[in-house]
Amino acid sequence: MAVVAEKVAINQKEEVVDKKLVRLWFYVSFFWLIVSMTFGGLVSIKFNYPDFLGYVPYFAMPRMRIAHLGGVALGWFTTAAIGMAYYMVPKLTGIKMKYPNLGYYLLYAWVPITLIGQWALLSGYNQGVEVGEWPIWIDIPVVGVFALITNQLFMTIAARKEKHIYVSLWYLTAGFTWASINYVVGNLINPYFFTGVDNAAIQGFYLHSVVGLWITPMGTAMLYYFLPIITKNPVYSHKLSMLGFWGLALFYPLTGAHHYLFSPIDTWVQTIAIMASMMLILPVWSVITNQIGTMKGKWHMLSSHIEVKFMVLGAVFYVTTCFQGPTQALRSMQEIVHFTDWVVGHAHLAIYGVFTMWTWSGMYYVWPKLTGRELYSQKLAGWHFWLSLFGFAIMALTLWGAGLVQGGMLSLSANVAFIDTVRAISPFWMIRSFGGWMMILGAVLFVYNMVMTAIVGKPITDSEAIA
Amino acid sequence: MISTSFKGAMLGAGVGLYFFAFAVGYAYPAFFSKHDVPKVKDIYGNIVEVRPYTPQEKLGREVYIKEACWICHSQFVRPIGGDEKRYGPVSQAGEFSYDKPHTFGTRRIGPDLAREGGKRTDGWQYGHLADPQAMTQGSIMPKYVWYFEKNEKGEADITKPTEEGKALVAYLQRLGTSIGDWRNPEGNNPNAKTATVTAPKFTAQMVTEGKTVYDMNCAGCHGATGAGDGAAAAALNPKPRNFVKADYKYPVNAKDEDIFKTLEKGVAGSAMPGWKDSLSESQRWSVISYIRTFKK
Repeated sequence: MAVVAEKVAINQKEEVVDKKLVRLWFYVSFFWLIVSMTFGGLVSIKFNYPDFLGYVPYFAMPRMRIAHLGGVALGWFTTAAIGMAYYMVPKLTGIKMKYPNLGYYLLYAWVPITLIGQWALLSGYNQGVEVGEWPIWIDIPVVGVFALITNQLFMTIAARKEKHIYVSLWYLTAGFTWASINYVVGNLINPYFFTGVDNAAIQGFYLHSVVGLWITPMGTAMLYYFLPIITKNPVYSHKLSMLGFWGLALFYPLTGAHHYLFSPIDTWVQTIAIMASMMLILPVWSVITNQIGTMKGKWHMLSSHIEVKFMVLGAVFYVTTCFQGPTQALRSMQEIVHFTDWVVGHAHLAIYGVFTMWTWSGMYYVWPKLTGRELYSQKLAGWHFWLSLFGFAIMALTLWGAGLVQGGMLSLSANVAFIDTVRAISPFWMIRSFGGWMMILGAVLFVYNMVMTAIVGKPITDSEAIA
Repeated sequence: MISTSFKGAMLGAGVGLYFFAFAVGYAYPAFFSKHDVPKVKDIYGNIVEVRPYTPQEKLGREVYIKEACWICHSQFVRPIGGDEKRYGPVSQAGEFSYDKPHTFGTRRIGPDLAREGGKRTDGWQYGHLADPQAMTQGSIMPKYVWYFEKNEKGEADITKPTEEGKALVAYLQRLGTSIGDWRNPEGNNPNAKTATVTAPKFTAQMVTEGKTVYDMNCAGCHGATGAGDGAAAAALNPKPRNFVKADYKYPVNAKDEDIFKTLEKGVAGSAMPGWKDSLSESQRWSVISYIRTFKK
């Protein structure tokens, strides 16, 4: 059953992708990528210089910190993923999207939604839900956008020409459906109907489902779509991909409570969460096995293809993050590393190291096809890659180091004043900022490269190449 | 090849797993574990009622959420990792029964606040809110000057917090107090017996070490020169001790051992906290040796 996405893609004579629509979504995601990463960079400076940017309520460190998170999760990744969906779904179903104008209307709604949502956070309107900070009056239109896209997706799939549902479509449909439901649960129901401990438990469930049932499926869909096309190899094992999908669906939603271990949440709920976290190694490593298998005989592309570089780097980080995640969910690890920068490093490893890398990989592949122009500069793309890799390595390692230092100081001796741990890890934060700004520079080069490709890139004459 | 309708059913199953997890792990305990019953075990082992937030505390909680304080301060004491010794008794489910949404938090960039209530006086909290670095050298907390009225120089006047500022401090003082006055289980008994201590002989090296400790921990209130005029002093009542005048409790014959006890337990009814958990014994003696050098 070696059905390959590439077969679907190449056999199409008729153009099914609305390229302009995908481009527009990507442009919005570029904007949020730069803005949100810059917010992160500014916040990191405030860790060493708390008076940086003065005493303005809008730029208070915690407010900017949640704006960094909201901007990356919803502004950058979600926008990019929706753009990707508008590219992948027509390719995989063999037909144009149903309701062809809907994508434009949703984009015109999405831009003000994200702007207002971010403005609200800086102005002090947040509803106190981690990873769901946007206030309820902006959550409702967000749910509307998600619900409409999900519906559009199902309608398109129902009318598809290509009978086989490729694994990417599984992830896309499930991801959009989960995200719509999960957003309602976490933002509209939980903060207003459940109190205290129950509220915390459900919020952990929501928080981790955002990562596991929205960001992960979107990223995995991209991986399964782009890797076979780029390498021109069939997916190594379709069965393995299904195992990964069902493993994710089964174990991911159960992991939420691991954000609040040793809290008054029922111990058995915490234990289930730890077990499910451990079991996540299974689906994640099956995805990676599949990726490595698919790369068979094509490893030389690593040196020449920027999209393969990002794809493989993301995979390396995926293995790492999904070993680190389960182990840090263990009680003995939590005792030391929970509440420290260790977890912050882990979050960046997943969102930046894995899913942002994969999105970039997909974008490097798609953008020339969308614009009909060759990539403006391979050299800049190379700089983007190495700045991202080294910047992130510096940042992640210092965060993990800081986490171990602070966690160790606090848990090994009760006679250490809290402030002493802050003083101890302050130099780590300085290096972290340095790495972070390297990452930002890399992202700026990426966006510059993309924009220049669209404006002055060499036109591609071969019509096969832009299909 | 699996039939299409069967695949549709399987996709339904994928969504079903989400609800399965929600039902088993979260909805079931929410409805049957009775976490939201506002009752806790107090320090004497009695089951006591948790009172709802007053309107002012409620407003303070809204400020706490609005400023995203929960991004840097957690609010639950774990039974591990030195938490109990550092912050106080382990958190109980009933203590959170009026929290909607919860403010557990996932990161401690600053210390846990679950048992913050009663740890410091209101005045200390105001001074700290306006200028955390003056109170705790090395703190990275922002200066929340917009919760204070401005004085004629345009600076935040820590003696004049706004309504929201007062509410925030009222909320902080409420945190973790549902289990009773756990800091003074026997009441504030000045005659309670403590082990006798003897001051070591002060050396020049101790004075130098004491200066470091003093500048980091004490200068915010007592002032860099020991004149009781630190950044927070304006908001404090009673005022911080003036070491230059040496206005100790027993001004004529204040013993080092008495000061040591004060450092250990704090001064009830004032902003002076006990330092037993955050300064080692030798650090406490060093700081006393340094304080002694202020006297004119």
